[in-house]
Amino acid sequence: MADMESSLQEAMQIEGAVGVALVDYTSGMALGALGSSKEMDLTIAAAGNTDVVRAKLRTLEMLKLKDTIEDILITLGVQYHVIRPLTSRNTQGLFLYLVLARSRANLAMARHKLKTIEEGLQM
Amino acid sequence: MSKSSRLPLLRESLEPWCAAGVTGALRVLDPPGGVVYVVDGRIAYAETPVASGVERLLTASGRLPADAWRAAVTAGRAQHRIGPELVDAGLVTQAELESLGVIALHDAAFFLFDLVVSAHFEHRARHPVGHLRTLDLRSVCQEVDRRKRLLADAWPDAAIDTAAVLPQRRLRSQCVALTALQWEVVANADRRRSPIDLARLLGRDTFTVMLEVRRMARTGLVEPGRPGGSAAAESVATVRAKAAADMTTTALPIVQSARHARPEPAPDPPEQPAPPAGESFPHVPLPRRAIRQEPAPHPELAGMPDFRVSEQILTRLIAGLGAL
Repeated sequence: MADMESSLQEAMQIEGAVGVALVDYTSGMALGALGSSKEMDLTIAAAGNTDVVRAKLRTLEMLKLKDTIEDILITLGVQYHVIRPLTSRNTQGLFLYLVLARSRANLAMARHKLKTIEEGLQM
Repeated sequence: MSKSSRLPLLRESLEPWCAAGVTGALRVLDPPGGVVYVVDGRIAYAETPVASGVERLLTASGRLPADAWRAAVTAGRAQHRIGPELVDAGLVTQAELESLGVIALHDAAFFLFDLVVSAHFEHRARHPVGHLRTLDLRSVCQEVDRRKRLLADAWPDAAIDTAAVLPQRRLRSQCVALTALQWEVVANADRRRSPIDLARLLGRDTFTVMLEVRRMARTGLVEPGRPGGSAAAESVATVRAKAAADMTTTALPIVQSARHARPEPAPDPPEQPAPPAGESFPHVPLPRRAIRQEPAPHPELAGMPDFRVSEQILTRLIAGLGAL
């Protein structure tokens, strides 16, 4: 069974990963984060991306799409940001937030691995 | 022990203990009461009766039956292993428990960190749930400050946190969208419960309930409520009013009001002010009452040093008992 620290460390092993956080999107707080730095303050990123997730969920609601978000991809010039809401009943309200360096990352592989980590967190 | 004549903010009182890398608990002696647990100089847990602890988050939310929690308490309390008991029984995952621990910690820290209260440090005290993730004091402070800003941005008047939540009976618009938590709040607001009461009832963290209520007030879904409600809400309102008043006055009234609070952790039989004088009933309440009443008749300057001495004695007694 995965604890938070080992799940975050596993996420940092993903090719190209430069930062990861587990975020509570009801409060916008990072429950745990690795790879935070001066250039990339993950607590600020956590709070900001909470608004992204809320806005997207709200949009889905307004469109009356009976579906859930598997992940949200934001492509920057030099980074990918991947947001993955956790879905099981006992981890609802949390999302994983992964920052990847575009030059080193394999996006398909990263998404796949993030899915595995999510499953580990909510087993 | 940690009692200072300047009475710093609680977060400042924590600094030396964190810097020294010690393990123990800083107990808040004045209302609303609470404890901050430190492990190796890092914040491990915090709790206060007005915020939702891990127990409420797990049981009141319907995540776990209360019986399952009680069984874990019975099995793990003595060894500070309530959390691991739950995980071993397969009732929660480690990551979930850690998440709830961090959420509960910040929820309590929000109410405690900026209080000017007397507190004493108890070495080696640990929380019975068991320590999960420990956090840097500075990062907890930053999160507390962020929460204060978010709340103030959503609705500037803090009185709404302790007032009864009054959803508007009629809306101007034809259609509204609510978040799941907002829905829970509206569905359970009985026009008496404050956001603090609702958070306890629903097993949600208090901060997010306060935030959603403030957001709904801003969008006109909830009236800025009337004062009143539960005792818990009242106590927060009182503490906040006192803190606001203390900002403008000297330190003296703070010390006085601190004295009126019960110095609760003193059920010690070997109490000094009560030489039984041949009495055959060594009752615990007797010395406690004596201490509580002593400063009350003269709430002026005069009682102050006495009280501090008696508190030091209490602290030493507690430390002594702990060592036994």
